[in-house]
Amino acid sequence: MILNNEHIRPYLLQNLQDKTTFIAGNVKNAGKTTFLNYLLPILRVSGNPFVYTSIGVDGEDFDRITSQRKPQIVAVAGDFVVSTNKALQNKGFQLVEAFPFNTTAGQIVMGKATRQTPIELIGPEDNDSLASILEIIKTQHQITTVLIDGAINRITQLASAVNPVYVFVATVDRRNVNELMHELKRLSVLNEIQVWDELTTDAEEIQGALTESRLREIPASCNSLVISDFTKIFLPLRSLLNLLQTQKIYFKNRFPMIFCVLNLKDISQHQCEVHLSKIGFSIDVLFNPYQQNPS
Amino acid sequence: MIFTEELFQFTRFGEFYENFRPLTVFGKRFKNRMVVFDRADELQEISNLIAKTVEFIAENPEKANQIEFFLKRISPLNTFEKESFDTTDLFLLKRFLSNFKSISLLLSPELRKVFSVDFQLEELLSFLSKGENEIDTFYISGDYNPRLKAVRSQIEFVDKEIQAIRNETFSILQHKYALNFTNLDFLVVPEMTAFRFEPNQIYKEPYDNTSVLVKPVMPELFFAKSEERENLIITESELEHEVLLFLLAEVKKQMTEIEQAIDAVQNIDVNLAKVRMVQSMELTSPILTEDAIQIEVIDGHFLPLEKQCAEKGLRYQPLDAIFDNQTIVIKGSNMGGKTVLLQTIGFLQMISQMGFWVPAKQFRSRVFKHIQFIGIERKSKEIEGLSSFGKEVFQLSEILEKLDEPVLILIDEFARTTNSIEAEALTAALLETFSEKNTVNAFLSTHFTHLPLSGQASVYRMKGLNYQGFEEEYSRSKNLDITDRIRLLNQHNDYSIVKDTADLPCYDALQIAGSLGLDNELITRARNILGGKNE
Repeated sequence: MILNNEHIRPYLLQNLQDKTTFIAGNVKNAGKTTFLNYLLPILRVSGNPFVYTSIGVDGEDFDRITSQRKPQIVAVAGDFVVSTNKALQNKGFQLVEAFPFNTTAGQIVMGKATRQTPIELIGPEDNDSLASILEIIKTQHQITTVLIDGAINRITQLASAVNPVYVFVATVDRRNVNELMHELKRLSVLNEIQVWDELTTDAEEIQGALTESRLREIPASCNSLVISDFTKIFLPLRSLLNLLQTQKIYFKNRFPMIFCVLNLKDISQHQCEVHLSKIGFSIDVLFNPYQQNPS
Repeated sequence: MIFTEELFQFTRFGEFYENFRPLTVFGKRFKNRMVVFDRADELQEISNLIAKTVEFIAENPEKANQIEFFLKRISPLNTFEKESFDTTDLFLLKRFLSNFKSISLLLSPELRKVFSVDFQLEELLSFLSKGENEIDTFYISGDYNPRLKAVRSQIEFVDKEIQAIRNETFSILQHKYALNFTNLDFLVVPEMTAFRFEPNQIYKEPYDNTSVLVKPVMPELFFAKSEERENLIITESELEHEVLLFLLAEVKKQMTEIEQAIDAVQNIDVNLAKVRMVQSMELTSPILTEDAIQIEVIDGHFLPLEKQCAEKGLRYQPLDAIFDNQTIVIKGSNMGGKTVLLQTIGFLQMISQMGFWVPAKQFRSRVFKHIQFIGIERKSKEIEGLSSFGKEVFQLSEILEKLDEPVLILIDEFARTTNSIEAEALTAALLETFSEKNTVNAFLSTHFTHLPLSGQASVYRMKGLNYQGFEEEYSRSKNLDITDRIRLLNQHNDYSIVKDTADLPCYDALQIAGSLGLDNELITRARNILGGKNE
């Protein structure tokens, strides 16, 4: 479904509330933080508490959409933010939680903004810490909506704690369109893979990553495989499709892509829709959320 | 006393200890230290505390739940012994104090006394709570310093001015160009619509061949106000630091009381965790003395094995044994439960000396300075390379040096891998040595049939297999696999012990081997060779 920019708010509220959503991108500087900034005012209007954070320290200075310095995140009064104590110091934050995890940039804490203030998001650097933090946020602070500005490969291992979903953000231009469609097709195929029901289905469990070489080690007699989650599949699209023709694949944990944000450059929405149609992309798409057409 | 790794493994102590789950970091630290007590009065005090807490929980279940709730909310404290500190340190301390205070109010006067809970930090907590209603948060409020309050008001005022300028600018742009910048830093618009944007109102840059990226150009006043705000933030930061220094000084004045509070929280947490085990595992207080004693166990459960049996659908039989001697020889069939008896004694002793109640209707024993396991399961690195017998000799040498202190020795089939004539003599010599010391309680399991005992040790025998019942059921059953055979043996085995006054030998290895499926022809040959000597 192509999402209509004008009626996007109810859709986003419905799809992001009570979930842990990773904002993931196809490349570094895909526009993840810009999209986080786009989402924040929408969630604030809902009146329900939510928290936002990042994974690790974002070392990138420039944003691909604006080609400028990274967009600044501005917290407003009432926002819950997870970052380091140093990042939130002297920013007018009331401390509501201090997690037992330290980064090179300080101890991870959760603060509630008492006024509008620019902030730097620095999250935990490993998955176990993030899982633990999310669990505390959910159980001790009863905040169930979380946004995480983070790389896709960091989603692994979190399923048991938080049932995460992700939004895929990409910038599309004429040069990368074919490559991106390839990736979107791959993600779309992975999105369809079901969760393993160990009580009803026998399958060979693959520990760690599923690569081409690992694939060759699997005996021909094996016709069902279980993999931790989609981030553990390191197969190009062709190999993945071939595999799915001969094997039934299941995930132990499923991280669905709930929708995809495509920022178009030098390519029209119509052209892009044709490409998406060709690959049979069935996940919701939001085109150009920052575009306005002044009359 | 420190438990050795092999004793830890032999008694499967870890499987019990993992159920000990304190809720705070202080309680968890205590758990990790694996404290062992070797004084009866100390252990009695701990046991009494558990009893009092059990009583309190029975009378106040709601309060007990609330105490656990507050314990869970206590986070580890950061150290105050450092160069720089920040609001996180104070946040954690305030949370600790407020939760500790809530716990202290919930405890009965008697428990407050025994846990040494005397909340003397009200003033500090009130310092840390200035200007805040919430107990579980921390903020350097303006109430600490009138100048800080004034600067915050100025910041708030400037913020409003900045917001007003933004709103006005956005409103003009919306009205003039139909561009809505509310909540967005930039917009992407068709290039053909952008020609009319005044450069002093809209900043634009190329986005792609058909669009431009536009941003509002804010008026001069916006930048002036932003700068003014920045300066106020610097002043605010300096004033906050002054408050931090003041609060740190207050904290340091009461470090002794804070440390006492930490100890109290640890004790409450550890004790409640033990009481949860008492309730879920139906534990009772052990009876431990400083004096020489003959060990008594009534309905003693070796919990790791009991759990394992339940998982496999096997019957578990608790231990009932009132021993009449400090030196005990255990004989019995293969698979008859000799080793489990030693494990049960070791298990109950270990948990008793770590201040837990025990899974037994009664466990009466002595407080030992050392508990030693001697058997061929030992895997200690320092004796790698030795044969099984060599390892046993090494273990034995270790404990022989300590026989003047109270010591519990658990020996599982000593010297089973060496020649039986010398092994029997050595085993008998050991028993004689142990029986001469009233500091020693020794349990030795063995298959040796002709131990020349001096009469100082008591011999007990595992009752063993009810052959008639087993044979009847076995003959009725067809195609039993190994699991079924074990289950059948388990059902017909009596794992209780009896005093073996006649010192009868126990010949059942061939029968058990046959029951487990060993080739009949081989068993018949063995019987022929024995020519009835084992009947």
